[in-house]
Amino acid sequence: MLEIINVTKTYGKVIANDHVSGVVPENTVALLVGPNGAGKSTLLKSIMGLLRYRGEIRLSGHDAKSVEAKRLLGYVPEMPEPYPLLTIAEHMELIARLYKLTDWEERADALLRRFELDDKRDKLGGELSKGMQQKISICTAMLPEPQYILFDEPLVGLDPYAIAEVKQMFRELASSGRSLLISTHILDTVDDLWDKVMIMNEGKIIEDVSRAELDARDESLEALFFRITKHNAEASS
Amino acid sequence: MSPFLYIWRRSLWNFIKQLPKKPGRFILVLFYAAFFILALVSVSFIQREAAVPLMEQAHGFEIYSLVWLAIAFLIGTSILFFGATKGSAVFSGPDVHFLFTAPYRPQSILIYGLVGMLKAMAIVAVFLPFQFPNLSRLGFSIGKLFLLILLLIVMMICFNLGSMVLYLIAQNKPHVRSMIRGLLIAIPLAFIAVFLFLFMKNGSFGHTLQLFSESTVVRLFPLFGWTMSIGQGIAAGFDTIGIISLVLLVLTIPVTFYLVYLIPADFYEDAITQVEKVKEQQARMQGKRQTKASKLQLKHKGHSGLNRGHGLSAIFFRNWREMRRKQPYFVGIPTFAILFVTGSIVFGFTQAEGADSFGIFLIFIILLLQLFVKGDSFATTEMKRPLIYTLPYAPHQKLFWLTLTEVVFSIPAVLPSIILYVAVLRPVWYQLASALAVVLTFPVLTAASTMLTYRMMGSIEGQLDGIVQMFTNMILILPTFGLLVTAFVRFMTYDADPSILFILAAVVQTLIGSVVIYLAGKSALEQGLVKS
Repeated sequence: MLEIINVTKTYGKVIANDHVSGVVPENTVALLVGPNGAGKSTLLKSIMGLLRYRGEIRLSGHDAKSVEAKRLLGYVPEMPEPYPLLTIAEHMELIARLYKLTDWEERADALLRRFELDDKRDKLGGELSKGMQQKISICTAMLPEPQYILFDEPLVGLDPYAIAEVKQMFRELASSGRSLLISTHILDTVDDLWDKVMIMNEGKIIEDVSRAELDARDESLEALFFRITKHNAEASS
Repeated sequence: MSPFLYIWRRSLWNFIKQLPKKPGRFILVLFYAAFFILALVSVSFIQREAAVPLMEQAHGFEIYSLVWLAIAFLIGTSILFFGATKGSAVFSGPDVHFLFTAPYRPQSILIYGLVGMLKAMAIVAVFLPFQFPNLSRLGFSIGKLFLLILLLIVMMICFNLGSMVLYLIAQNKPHVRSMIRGLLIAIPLAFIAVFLFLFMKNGSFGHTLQLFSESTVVRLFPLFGWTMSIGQGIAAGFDTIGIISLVLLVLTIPVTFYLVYLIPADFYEDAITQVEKVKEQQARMQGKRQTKASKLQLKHKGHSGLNRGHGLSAIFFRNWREMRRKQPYFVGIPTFAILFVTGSIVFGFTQAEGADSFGIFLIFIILLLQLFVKGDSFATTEMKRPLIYTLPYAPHQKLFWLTLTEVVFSIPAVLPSIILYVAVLRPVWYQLASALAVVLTFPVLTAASTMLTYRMMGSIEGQLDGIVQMFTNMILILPTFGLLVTAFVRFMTYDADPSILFILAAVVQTLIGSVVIYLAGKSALEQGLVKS
C-alpha cells in the first residue's frame, strides 16, 4: 500500500502540496487529476523521494526515500531525459545493472518490440524524438517489474499507436496485480480502468473517491472534475 | 561492473564513435587538441632571458607565496561559499531520471556526482597548459610548471570536496549554513587584517611580506595555507612544513570522500534545482526560452502595447519594448564593460602629455569591445525565432529592419563611452563625426556575420557555430581594421589626420556588410529554421 500522510511541500512562499493525505491500496489503479499547477507532479516527485517535504510517505511500510521503497517503485516522468550518449539498448542494460536484474534480456527485447524501438536499439538518446524518449522512459520503468508505478502525464508526446499501447499496458499491469498512480489532466487516459481518483487543486486533494462511490452517485469522472474544480475556483476567488 | 562506470565508459566510447559522423564536433575536438599541443610546444620556443626569473627579483619568493595564498582564497572561498549552499556535485537531467530514482543510498549517488565534478575539472585542467608560456617566463622549468598546474587541480578538488562536506553538515540547517558562510567570508578578511596590522606595525611592505609568507600559522592554515606551502616547496624545495602540508592536502581527498559517504545526505532537491537552472540557461542561450523578467524589469514594465510600428517595423518596436523592459535605463552590462575600459584609457590620455589627438584611436578599442561584450545580437535572436520566417514580406525588407534594429540597439552600449571621450578629450568636430560614422555603422558587420553563420551552419547554438561566427566576424572586419591600422600608421609617421580613412572604413564596412546581409540573409530566410 502507498500511504501519503499529511504531506506538505513548499517552494519558498509557494505551497505546492498542502497537507496532502491519501492511500493507493495494492492492486489499484489510481488517478491523480487536476488542472495545471495543482501540485500533481510535485506530489509524484515527493513519492519518488526526489524532494524534501514535511509529512510521511510509505510504500508497503517502508519510508519512500529508503532503498527498499525504491526497489518497489517505477517512475515515468513528465519530461523524460535519456542519456544523450547511451543507445536505447544501453539504457535497458543500465537499468538492469542499476536494479541488479538477472535474465532481463528477453523482457527488454519484448518491451522494445512492443514500443517499436527494437529496430532503433542502437540510436543514441540524443538522437531520439520526444515521443521516442517517452517510450524509452516507459520501457526502462517497466523493466525491473516494480510493484508500484508512478506515471506523470504518460501520454504527452506519444503518437496514437503508442497511446493505444500504453493504455493496453495499463490494463495488463492492473490485471497483474500492480498498483498504478497516474497523474494526468487528460481524463480519459485510462478510460474505465481506474479504481479510484484523487482530484487535486491548489496543492490540496479536494476529492478522493472510489469508482464504486462515483458509480453510486451516478456521476461521470468528467462531471465530477468540472464540478469540483469549478466550485473550488469560485470559492477561492 | 558498476552501473556508474558503465555510464561513463559507454558515453565516452559512443562519443568517440560519433566523431567521424559529426564533423562539427570532430573539428572542435581537433581544434582544442591543436591548441593544447601548441601551448606545450610553444614553451620550448620561449626565450628565458627575455624576463628576469621571479625568484631572482626583489621579494620575488614572498610575492610568489602571497600570489598562491591569494589564488587559494579567491578560488577556494568562492568554491566553499557556493558549494556549501548548493553542493558541488555535478549531475545531469538523465542522472535525476535514472539514478535518483534507483535503489541506491543517496551517498552513493553523491560520490558518482563528485566524480562527475572531478571529470569536469579534468577538462578544465586540459586548458591550463595554455598558461605555460606565460609562467615559464617567470623562470619555472617545464617540470615545475606541471607540478604547479597539478597543485592547482588538487587544490580545486580539495575545495570542492570540502564544500560538499560543509553542504552536508549544513543541509536542512539554515542557521548552520549562515554561520559557515559568515566564517568563510571572515577568514580571508582576518588574513587581510593581520597583514595590514603587521604592515602598519613595522612600516615595511617587504618585511611584512616576508613575515607573512614564513609564518607557521599561515603556512599550516587548512587548505589555504597548505596550498601556499606546497607552492613554496615546488619553487624552492620542500621544508618540514611544506611536506606536512603536502601530506595533509593529499589526505584531504580520501577523508572528505569518506565523510561524504558517511554523512546522511538529502541533496536530491538541490541537485534537481541546479539541473533545472542549467537547463534553463542552456535554453536561453539557444534562444529557446526568454529570460525571466526580474523584479526591476517588472517594475519598469512601462506602457502596455507596442504603441508604434506598422508592418515589419513592428518587429523593431517589439525589440524596443523588450529592450526597455530588460534595460529600463538603456544601459546594460556591455555598456559598463566598454565604459570601464574606455574610461581607463581616456584617463591614461589625460595623464600623458601631447596625446590628445591620439585619443581618436580609442575608436579601435570601442569597436573591438563591441565584438566581445555584446553577447547575442538582436539579429541572432530574431533568426532563432520562427516569426521572422513566417511574416509575409520580401527578404530584403526583413533584412533591412533586422539590420536597423541591430544598428540602433547597439548605440546604448557605446554611447556613454563616446560621450566620455568627447567630454574629456574634446576632439575636432570632423574627427568626431568620422569616428561616430565608423562606430555606429560597425553593427552592420556583426549582423552580416550572424547571417553568414546562419546560412552556413543553420543555427548559432553550439560551440562550433560560435567558432564559425567568430571567424566570420574576424574575416568581415578585416577591411575595417586594415583601414584603421593604415590611419594609425599614417598618423604615427606623417601626423596625418585619420578622419578620411575613418569615413572610408564606415563606407566600406556598410557596403560589405549590406552585400553579405543581402546575399546570406536572403538565402538563410528562404532556407527557414534549420534547427529548432
